[in-house]
Amino acid sequence: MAGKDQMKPGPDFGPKGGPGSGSEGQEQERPNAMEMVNKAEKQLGTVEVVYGPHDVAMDFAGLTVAEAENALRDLLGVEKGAEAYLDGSKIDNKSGTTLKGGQRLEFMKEAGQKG
Amino acid sequence: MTREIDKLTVKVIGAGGIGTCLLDNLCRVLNYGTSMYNFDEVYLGLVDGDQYEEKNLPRQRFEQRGNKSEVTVKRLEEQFPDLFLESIPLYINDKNIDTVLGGADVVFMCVDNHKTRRMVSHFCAEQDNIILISGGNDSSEDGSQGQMGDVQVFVRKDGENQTLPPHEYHDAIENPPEDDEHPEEVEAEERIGCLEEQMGAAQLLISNNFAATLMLNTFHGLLTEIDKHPLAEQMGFRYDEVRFDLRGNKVVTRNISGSEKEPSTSEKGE
Repeated sequence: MAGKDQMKPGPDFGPKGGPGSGSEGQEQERPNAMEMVNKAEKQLGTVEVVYGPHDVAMDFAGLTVAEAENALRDLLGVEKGAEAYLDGSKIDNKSGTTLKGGQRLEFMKEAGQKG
Repeated sequence: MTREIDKLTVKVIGAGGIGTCLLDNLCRVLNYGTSMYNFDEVYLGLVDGDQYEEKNLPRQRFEQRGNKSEVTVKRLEEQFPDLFLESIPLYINDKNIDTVLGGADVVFMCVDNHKTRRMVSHFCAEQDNIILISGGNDSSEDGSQGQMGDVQVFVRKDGENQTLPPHEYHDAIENPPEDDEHPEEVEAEERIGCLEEQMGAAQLLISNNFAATLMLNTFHGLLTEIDKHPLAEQMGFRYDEVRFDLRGNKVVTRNISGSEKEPSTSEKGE
């Protein structure tokens, strides 16, 4: 599973018309980097997962929210019964909600209590 | 760097897991760093009504049993003679908070309950000039693994919020859950040692130390005014909260007050 932080292969977004670019004098429309990344993530079926300090793209499309929660429990320590929000809406039926590429899944994380 | 105060008054609340990790380095920085930070003198008051017991040894530093603030101040006085240190052997409550925290320039909060966090957060929000740096981490009691934690940074200057007070974006602080108890509501025997018995104290110690380090980093950043740099916001150097995951060695800052977008669900605390 690829995290959001990883380098992604993609088009050259360097400055136009620079030395050796071969584009001197040509006015081309430059693609928007974030649009390209977002499009790629949707094609890969990744879901943006947010929990505590983590904000990562995971290959979770097709899983239910409950399956995603279980998959992350050991890794991130997602609390049992943590409230889940999909694209900002609270999910009451975790087992009956299937994730799609491009969605944002957030598990609620409150402030640490112990000191 | 120009500063507006020559005498720094610091209050540290809690000399337990995070507090004992924080205090030695904080005192060393304050004792030897007065010229760097441009202070002439530093007063540090340590507030804690709890007792050190044998069961605290796996993750808290102390040489003798007794009240946490008195035992710790006695030890630190010998090491850092240039500091004005005072033990305040009390729990913060509604009746004493004005007296205990009054006059503080900086408050470090290292407590284990949201009721105290709420009280102190509201108190600081009513002051004209104060910095509150509050740390906490998870435990095993809530089903998580104690690997995550966070530090809230509240800066109030000339009567205006520079960042948000923790109670405004953490619902658990503003409305503590039923099982969150102020230390004065709990019998001493119940308070001591349950965490260490239930999970590996080593991970809790590392988590406590992580939080303490981030609190000290925050303090240094604010005193050296990195948040005033024109690019500070873009670089993520101006923030309300730091969140960490110790097992993944991951740390992120969150600029909630400066964010153009709506807070995420967890910040709303729905």
